[in-house]
Amino acid sequence: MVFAAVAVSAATFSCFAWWLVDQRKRALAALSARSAETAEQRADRIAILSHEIRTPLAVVRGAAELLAEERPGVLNDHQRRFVRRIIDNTGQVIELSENLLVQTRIEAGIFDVHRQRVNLRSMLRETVAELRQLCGATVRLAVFDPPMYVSVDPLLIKQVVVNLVTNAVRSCGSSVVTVRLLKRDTDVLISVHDEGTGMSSDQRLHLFEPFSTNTRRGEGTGLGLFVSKHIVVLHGGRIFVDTIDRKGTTVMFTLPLQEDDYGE
Amino acid sequence: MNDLPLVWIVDDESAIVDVVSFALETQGFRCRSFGAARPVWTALREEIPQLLVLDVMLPDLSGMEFCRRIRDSTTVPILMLTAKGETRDRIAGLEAGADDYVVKPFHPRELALRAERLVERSRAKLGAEVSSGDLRLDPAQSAVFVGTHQVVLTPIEYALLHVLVSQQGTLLTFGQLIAKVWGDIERGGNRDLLKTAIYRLRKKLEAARPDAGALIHSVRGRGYVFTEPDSITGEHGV
Repeated sequence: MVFAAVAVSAATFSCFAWWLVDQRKRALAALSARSAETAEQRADRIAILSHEIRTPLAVVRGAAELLAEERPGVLNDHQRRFVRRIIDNTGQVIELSENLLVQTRIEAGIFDVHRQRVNLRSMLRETVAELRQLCGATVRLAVFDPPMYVSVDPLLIKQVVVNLVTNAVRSCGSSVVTVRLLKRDTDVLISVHDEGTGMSSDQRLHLFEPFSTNTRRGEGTGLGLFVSKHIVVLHGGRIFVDTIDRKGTTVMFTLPLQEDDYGE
Repeated sequence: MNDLPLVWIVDDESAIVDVVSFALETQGFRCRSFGAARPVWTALREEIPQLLVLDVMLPDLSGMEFCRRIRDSTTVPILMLTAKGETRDRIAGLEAGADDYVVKPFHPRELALRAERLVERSRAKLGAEVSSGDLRLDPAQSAVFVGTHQVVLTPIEYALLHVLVSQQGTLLTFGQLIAKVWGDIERGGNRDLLKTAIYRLRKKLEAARPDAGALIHSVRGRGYVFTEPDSITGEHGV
């Protein structure tokens, strides 16, 4: 009889335990479904926001570039200058909106990295060539190692380089900005050096915070550096700064080499 | 005037249509615009354009879904207008069948040059017939046959396959394939363009014969090579 009572208790306990496990599984599945749905809804909202911001920017820049071609009609000197100002300033708004949208995706937890094997030297060469045209400044590239291939999201790493170089150009005016690439044992190091005003220790402390009031002249909202840091960290790298007040600044970031990354 | 290639611009933003149509008309196109997807279906019963410029967001249907449906019924080249940074949207659009894309905010002249390239590609006669095993490309009909099965390809997919088959056994790098098929304009998303076109091509070949897609062999980090039928090694990655 005692044995029967124990057997019934064990069976009851077993059923109850099974029920508990099943309830937990159902709760976790429901939570997971809600989280997934929320992430997808967030992604959809940000996609709509992105479209709503980019469409009018596309109109303004597109219309200005068509005017600058002078196909709708020849411009006088004043008109040409003002059209140029529209194009240049639209470029700045576009850059700001890109960083704002990235920040939004980061905060929504839906920021993706799409890695592919990239020839880093070629990628930097193309990026610097574009920047020379866009910035109108002296941007030099110093690469002495043979071609190296890394697994990165090329659009995001390009965005980091663009952010660092445009910050450097704005803060140092007409001085030279130098981009360097160096292969090390377990990573590659990319640095952007300017010969501008450097930073105070306060500015250095808050360098990677968005909307900090302690930014250098030309760094605006500081969003570009905040986004750049996040991109570098997502790639498993580090970003840091070497600066002396009134003597210039070097911002550096690393990208880890994977086991099978190799040169051609 | 009617010799000029016809482009349909499908976008509900009249200001975008204004900019895009001016850029295309000054590049030698005729333009017709639609503010939604459904009127395009009706119009397709009457005429077929040489190119569709399609926004990713339409009021009555997602641009992606519309692209997929267009692809199911016609091989007209499609140039998609996407939002920069939304990589998943860009890749989804390419997988849905878009042949190329430009990113908002875009350079109107770049859009016009890409449009020109797509239309030239669809009109080009690609030299002599090429074949490999039972895969045959007939440029006179722009038709592809795997055995007796005809495989319907878009002009871009046909051009890509023709380049690969005519240089079978030779590794063609990503840059070479992109330049030969889409032109030389450098940009960060070109690799996605090529990878999704290869993906679509493999799927269509596999629909005709299950092992046909494996004829296009990927060389990791470098490019693709079309292998001869008796040297198929099995699994492939993109």
